[in-house]
Amino acid sequence: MPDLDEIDKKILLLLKDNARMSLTDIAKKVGLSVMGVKNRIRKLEEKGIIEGYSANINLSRLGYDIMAFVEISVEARVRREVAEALQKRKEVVELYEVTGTCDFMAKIVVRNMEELREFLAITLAKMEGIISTQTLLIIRNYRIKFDKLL
Amino acid sequence: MIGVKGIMAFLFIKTQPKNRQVPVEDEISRMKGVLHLYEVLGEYDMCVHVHAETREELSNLLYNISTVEGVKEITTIIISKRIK
Repeated sequence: MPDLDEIDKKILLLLKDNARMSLTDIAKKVGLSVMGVKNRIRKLEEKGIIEGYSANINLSRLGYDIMAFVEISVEARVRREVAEALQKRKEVVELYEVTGTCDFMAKIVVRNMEELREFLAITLAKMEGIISTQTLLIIRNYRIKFDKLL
Repeated sequence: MIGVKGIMAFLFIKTQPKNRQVPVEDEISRMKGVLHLYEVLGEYDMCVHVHAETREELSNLLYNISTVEGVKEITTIIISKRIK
């Protein structure tokens, strides 16, 4: 665990909430000069603690109303091929190889139930080596704060 | 094609105590989004056919049903295609 003081932690939490917050505002909130904040952010970036900055896109506003986790169990021999094929699918926005009752957990984003069904019943069903899938529809997103990790 | 925009699901519900069955049915049947409600035999006590415009609406409906006194367990089956 890298050595972070309380000011570094505050800066990280402020940027996590709003990566576009101005250096002046951050400086006011943490009680440092603008240059002081700038240097700290640069160091956090250099250490790889801040990996990048991105926009939170509301996919529902773009018409993607259905989100689901799909647990996928595969035959061991095709594990890598299935992972590669899943990564190429536009519906798969996150993919994890996991331990436990299945081999992969894929987060799927589609426009409607028809597209979800098509992905499950046609796309996945066609992939060789898939043993079973279990689909968990996401019905509410909770915003998790990770203050306690810092 | 399920023919309707949004999400349709069957909710299988267990009630406890059993004398709450009728009040639970009454309360659930009045909720927005409930299309049909069936009393069923077997592992569950009732089956509710619901429709929600959005994921959040389904979440709210599930919350409302789960907080009805006497609802013990809900299993949600999402309809992916209406065949007939």
